[in-house]
Amino acid sequence: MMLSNAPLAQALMALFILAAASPASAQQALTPERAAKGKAVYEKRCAGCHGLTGQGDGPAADRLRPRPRDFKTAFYKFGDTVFGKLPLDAAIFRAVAEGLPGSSMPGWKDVLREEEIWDVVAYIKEFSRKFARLKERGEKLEPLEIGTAPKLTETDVQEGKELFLKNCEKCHGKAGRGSGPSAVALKHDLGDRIWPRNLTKGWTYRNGNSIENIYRTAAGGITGTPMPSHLESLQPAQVWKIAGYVDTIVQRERPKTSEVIIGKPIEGAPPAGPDDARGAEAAATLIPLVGQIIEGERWFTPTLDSVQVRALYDSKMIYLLVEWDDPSASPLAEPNDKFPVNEPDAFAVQLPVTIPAGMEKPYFLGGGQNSPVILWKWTNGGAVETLSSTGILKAEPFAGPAASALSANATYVDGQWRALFTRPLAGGGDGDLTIETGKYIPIAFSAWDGNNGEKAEQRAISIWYWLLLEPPTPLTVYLWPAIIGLLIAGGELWLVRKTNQHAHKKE
Amino acid sequence: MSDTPKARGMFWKVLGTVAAVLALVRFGIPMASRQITGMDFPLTVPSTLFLFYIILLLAGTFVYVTSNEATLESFMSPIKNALGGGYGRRTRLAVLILTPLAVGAGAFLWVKPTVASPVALRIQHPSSNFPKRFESMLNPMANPTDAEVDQFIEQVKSNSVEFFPQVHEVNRKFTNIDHIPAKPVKEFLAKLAKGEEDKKLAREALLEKRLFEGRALYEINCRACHGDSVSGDGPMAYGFQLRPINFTDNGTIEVLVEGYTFWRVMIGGLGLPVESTPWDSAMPVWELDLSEKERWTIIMGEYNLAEKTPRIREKLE
Repeated sequence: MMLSNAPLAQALMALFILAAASPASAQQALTPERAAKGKAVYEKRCAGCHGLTGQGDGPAADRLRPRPRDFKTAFYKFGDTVFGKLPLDAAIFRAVAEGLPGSSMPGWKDVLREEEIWDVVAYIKEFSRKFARLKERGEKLEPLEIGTAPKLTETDVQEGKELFLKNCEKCHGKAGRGSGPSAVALKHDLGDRIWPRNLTKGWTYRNGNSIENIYRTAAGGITGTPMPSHLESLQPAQVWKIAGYVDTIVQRERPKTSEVIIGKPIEGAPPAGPDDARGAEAAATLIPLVGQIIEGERWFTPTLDSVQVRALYDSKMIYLLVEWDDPSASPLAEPNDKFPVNEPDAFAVQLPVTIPAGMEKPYFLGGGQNSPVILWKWTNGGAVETLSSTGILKAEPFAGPAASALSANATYVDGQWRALFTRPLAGGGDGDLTIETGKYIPIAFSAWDGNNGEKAEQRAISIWYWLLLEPPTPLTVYLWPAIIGLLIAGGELWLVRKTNQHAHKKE
Repeated sequence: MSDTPKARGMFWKVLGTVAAVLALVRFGIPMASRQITGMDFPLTVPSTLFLFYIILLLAGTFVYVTSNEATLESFMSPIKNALGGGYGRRTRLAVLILTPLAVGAGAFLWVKPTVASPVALRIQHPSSNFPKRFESMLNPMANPTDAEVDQFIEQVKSNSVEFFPQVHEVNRKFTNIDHIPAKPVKEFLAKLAKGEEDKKLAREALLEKRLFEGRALYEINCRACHGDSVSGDGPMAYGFQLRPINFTDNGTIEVLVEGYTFWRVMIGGLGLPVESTPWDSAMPVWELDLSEKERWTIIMGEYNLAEKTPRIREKLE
């Protein structure tokens, strides 16, 4: 019982803090004494990113995207007020306690007590004179009015879509993946590059992904960024319709990933390209990608965060369909002068040279000295190539019959790359991988967003997953249950006869 | 026919007992385990143990049912009755058809190929290649020598305090320690300003300076995976299935001697022995990128942020 009390207490604590995060309990007096106490907490817990002077220049700041908030300019992104206004205390508290999903800001409610969080809120407000001046003028902050979400009909949502295409498409793109024409040239007011949200990935919405949250951000805007308040140009009812449309394209939870990519056998015509409907015959597995922060020039600020993989095969070939969201297809035809970097986008599939017999695999990051891997690398505007790699910094072209038969065909539509890799199953000797059905084959992925300046080892990577080409189900799987069922049925009939004979005899 | 009250309805009793026990083992124990451990995942009964329970259960009921004529008779009578058509022909037909179908379906589920990725058992704190000499090492940065303290005092006096390059890079303007928010630093500087050189305070101030650097080095190099709150939940952690270690967990750095922690940071994932699946570990080989002093300083910062102390080495002699 002692053991089970701890989580209960934690749960109560969490509830307590959640309750405190509601505006009702936000009337905490943020006194100078409080701020003085908050200073100690801040210097230990927050200064690492936000800096001792609160200017968002802590030791880790350069390795964060978005950059940590600069409390001196007080451009708070999520303040529950309208664009350009200072934030409400409750909004700062919420950001500290709950964190900002998809960014580097963690929630501190498990580490700090509620009181400590309020102390920190009091302290970080002192970095800017703006709060004090507001008080001196006797002004009060107007919270952004949200109300409750109206009931939206299908026509409303359709209207919302039209409004979205008119007002939001320029940055967020036609499909909401953050790939509008302006997306590649956006800047924070303090100068650093930022990207519009990929609205299909709800788990990265910093300020919550409920329809009310979506309305709040669309209506209020995000201070310091090119995301304006839309109440300037639209009626609240129209913004609700936009929120209603975004609500239909957002996936709220990060999809569960599976360790195994299951390849399906196909018959007849193989998929002709990445957009062929045949691709949908195989189940999709979502693989998370993170920055390569392990070797060489570490890459802390990738833009790509996942890739969806499907595998199909027939008697000769394997077809690997990969899809990933990328805010732009680079190299751009017309590089933007604000951020002239213009490398090509690229993608690589990593496989071992031979299927491991035991549990030992090559090193997941580009193989190792004595355990090479092969890469199938596609580069936008270049040829697809097979590379042999003995480390992330050591890859060289690899030739062979399977390598020369490797092809990749990619299309870019509305913020998403879709690429179809095709290669013979047989490696054809020469140390290339032969892909066998029914075997678990380690597989990993790398992706480069050229417009983000990614090249060489600076890229997004995955760990090892498994590729399993599911063999056609053997007949015995159906045969045995049928035989067992028939045997039992026979036994039953025999028993019935026996029982009847027995009954007759008794009579 | 001896139909004692005791033996009545034996068939249904047996069926009920078997179902109840199986439900308890299959669902009851995992449910109870969540209450006991307080974890958000259940501990399931291993399949071999499950099989064992079934065998014991069936053997037990068999012995009980066949222990006397009356119970056996009572157990068998519904079966005989059903087979003989005693419950009506339709019931019999239904039983005759459903039983083989149910068993056949069970057999199908049993032989149906399922996808389960190969399991690799992994030892988190391996020791097979842990060099003995690290075990007795004390963190040299946490235990400065008198000479180091003297040198530190001189550096403070001449406004030329040295910081590690990565720390210096982000705080180029700092050549002294007055920006370090710690009481011993303030006190030491105050006394120094009055012309007093307090060696004891100087040592404490030096330790605070090193802790400050250790935390900064942690934030720069380790935070992305291990997190600001040092609980293994940094922004990059979601990409790795071998989750970055949670240093606030009571079973990690707190139960390890500092020399071991230092060694793990030094060798990274690739230096692990095979039982710790080095090919899957994303821990960088820090020996390549950080100096020995930087690594020891990071260890200081890491324990400090986690609010833990390293294990003290037992005296074996």
